Amino acid sequence: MKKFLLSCLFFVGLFWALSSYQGLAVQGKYDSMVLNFRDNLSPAQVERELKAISAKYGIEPKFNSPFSKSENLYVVKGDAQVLEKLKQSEELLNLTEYVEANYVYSMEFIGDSTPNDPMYKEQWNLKAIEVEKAWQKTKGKGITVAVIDTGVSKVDDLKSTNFVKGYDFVNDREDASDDNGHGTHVAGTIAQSTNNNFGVAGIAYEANIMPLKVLSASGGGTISDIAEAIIFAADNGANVINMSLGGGGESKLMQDAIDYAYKKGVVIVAAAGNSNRNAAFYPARYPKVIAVSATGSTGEKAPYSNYGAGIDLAAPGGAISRGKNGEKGDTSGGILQNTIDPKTKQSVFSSFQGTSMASPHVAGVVALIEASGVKDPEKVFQILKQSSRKSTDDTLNYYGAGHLNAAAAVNLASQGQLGIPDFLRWARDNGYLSPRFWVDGGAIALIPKLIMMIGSYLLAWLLNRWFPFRWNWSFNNGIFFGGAGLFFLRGFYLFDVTQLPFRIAGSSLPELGNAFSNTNALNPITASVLLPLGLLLILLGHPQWKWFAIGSAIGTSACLATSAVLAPQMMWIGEGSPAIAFLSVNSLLCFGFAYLSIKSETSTL
Amino acid sequence: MGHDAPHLLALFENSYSKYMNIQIVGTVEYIDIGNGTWAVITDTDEQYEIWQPAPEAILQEGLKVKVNAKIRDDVFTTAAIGDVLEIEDFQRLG
Repeated sequence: MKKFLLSCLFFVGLFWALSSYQGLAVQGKYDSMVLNFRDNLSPAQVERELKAISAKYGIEPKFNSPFSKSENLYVVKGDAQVLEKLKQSEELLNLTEYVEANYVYSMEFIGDSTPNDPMYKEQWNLKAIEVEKAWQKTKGKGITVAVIDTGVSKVDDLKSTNFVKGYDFVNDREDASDDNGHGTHVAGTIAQSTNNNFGVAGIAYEANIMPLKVLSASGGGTISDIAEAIIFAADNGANVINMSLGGGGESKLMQDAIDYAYKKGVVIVAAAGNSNRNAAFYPARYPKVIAVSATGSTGEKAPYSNYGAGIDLAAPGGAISRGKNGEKGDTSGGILQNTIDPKTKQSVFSSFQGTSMASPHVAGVVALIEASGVKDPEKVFQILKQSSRKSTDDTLNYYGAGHLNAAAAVNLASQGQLGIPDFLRWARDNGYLSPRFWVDGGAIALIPKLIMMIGSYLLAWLLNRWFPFRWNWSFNNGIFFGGAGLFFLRGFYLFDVTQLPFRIAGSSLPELGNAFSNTNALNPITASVLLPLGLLLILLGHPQWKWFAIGSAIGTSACLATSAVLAPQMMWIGEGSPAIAFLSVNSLLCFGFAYLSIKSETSTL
Repeated sequence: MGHDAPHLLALFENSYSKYMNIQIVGTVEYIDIGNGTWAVITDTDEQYEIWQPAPEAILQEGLKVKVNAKIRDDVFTTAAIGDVLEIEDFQRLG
């Protein structure tokens, strides 16, 4: 009886400790919900469901942009109560891939920091990174951003932006005007003339632009010109380099130029590339370059954006629907800046999409960080990562460290208080010795894993107190694979190939099911008593392996208990109380079977 | 063996110091990334960007083609949608 009470106390204690743990995610504010209906539903089914929702809850789901219609992505406005009800609607759970909070990037305008540019209201991307709050502290004065691109033309809305001497490496001349429209657009995101009662705004609009033309009118250029431009920028006082380009291969020449600039204290930012592949392209892939993936206006990864291996950070890159005959559809989901029309060379306002557009958001925020006093590239990178808005369910590393946040970055830079460097940072840096291999330190939620491990060993210790048995190697392995697994493998990536083998190798028994589906929602088949019970039935006759089976039941018990409290999220069953009940019951069953097995094993001795 | 060696060496040089030649079958598409680019998309969804200047006649949305091209790994583009193809010649299909 005493032992029973002791074990009850243990469980109560464990649950209390876990429930008071706040989790690793930074919680944001939201006043709407994103509904992502399954792609295989017919438009009529979706239509029916939308009508049902509006009748039942008195709210009307709208698609976020015409683009999101094809993705079956809808947004519903409503207070927390309605949203909670929606989240728990079984019907919706069956029809949707997910229902989640649509976090608002703070929309309140703060006094003087709202600029008077008439088209500023269309720049959802600047609100998404909370640039207004950052402007209260700095606008990037004194910092020079080199734009290595198709050149930059001084269009109307760049008239009051500061320029420093640049160079045209394509035509070998000092005038680095744009004949394509890409570079001017990119420069606009970084430092469009702002608060000038005209056009749109830019992020670090008091910073200097150094125009470096390396790409021709058709948008392409050579490694040698780009490498020269990087060295030019480093030698001529640039603090930041933006490279919204990619597609080529690895090059020693470019690597050397990047190392040279980095050693001189230049922060280098590049676009991850636009082929929806598990790898950042060169030059973003180089170790000293910050690789930026792109998000659309809902904050989801843009469909074209590269992801996974090498991605450091996500920023708005826009998502534009495809209209009829290959024409642009509704462009409101794109990034709007002033640029030139490539045909007429006249000044126009255009919406573009691409990781090319995401990268200058980061370059602009780097200028703000540097203007706040932090200039060392390593520290700037750390501030970017630490201040980013984390994504809780980013199993494929769509967003790197998280979503760019200018306000938090500038705050952190002016406080000058940095946390400890990344877990596994050493592995990541050493991984770069081999350019095929990459480590995502942020992929592992370390604390829950530690709780699972400690929890399993405590349970095992408890059973050992009850029925003294010999603690052997198989038993240890069982506990380890049942509870935590080789979890550090989850963050390993090889460029250009699927990450699945690492996810499977890095999973504990209960996580095996969701390793395949790339979610954090546990699969009820593997995250249950089934696997440990199966192992016990098969292995109980074996003198050594039976201990592995018993260990795995104990490990699984701890893993499920931890998940029940920290992240009760299951495929098919959903979140909240049903998942908690399922996980708790299965956790207790696992513990029960381990208990019975050990009891019978020790009594026969 | 003595006969084969120079040939092998030439192959080696071709793949490392120069460009790789490739033949692909796919559909020509205009991709709206940045201010837009032309691409060949294969049936397995591989994307190749068409390096400019390219033969004018290939730049047609939806055109099914078989192209002989070089992979230009020494160039970068604003579109960054994948490997860059310098088209040598092409054949319309269907």
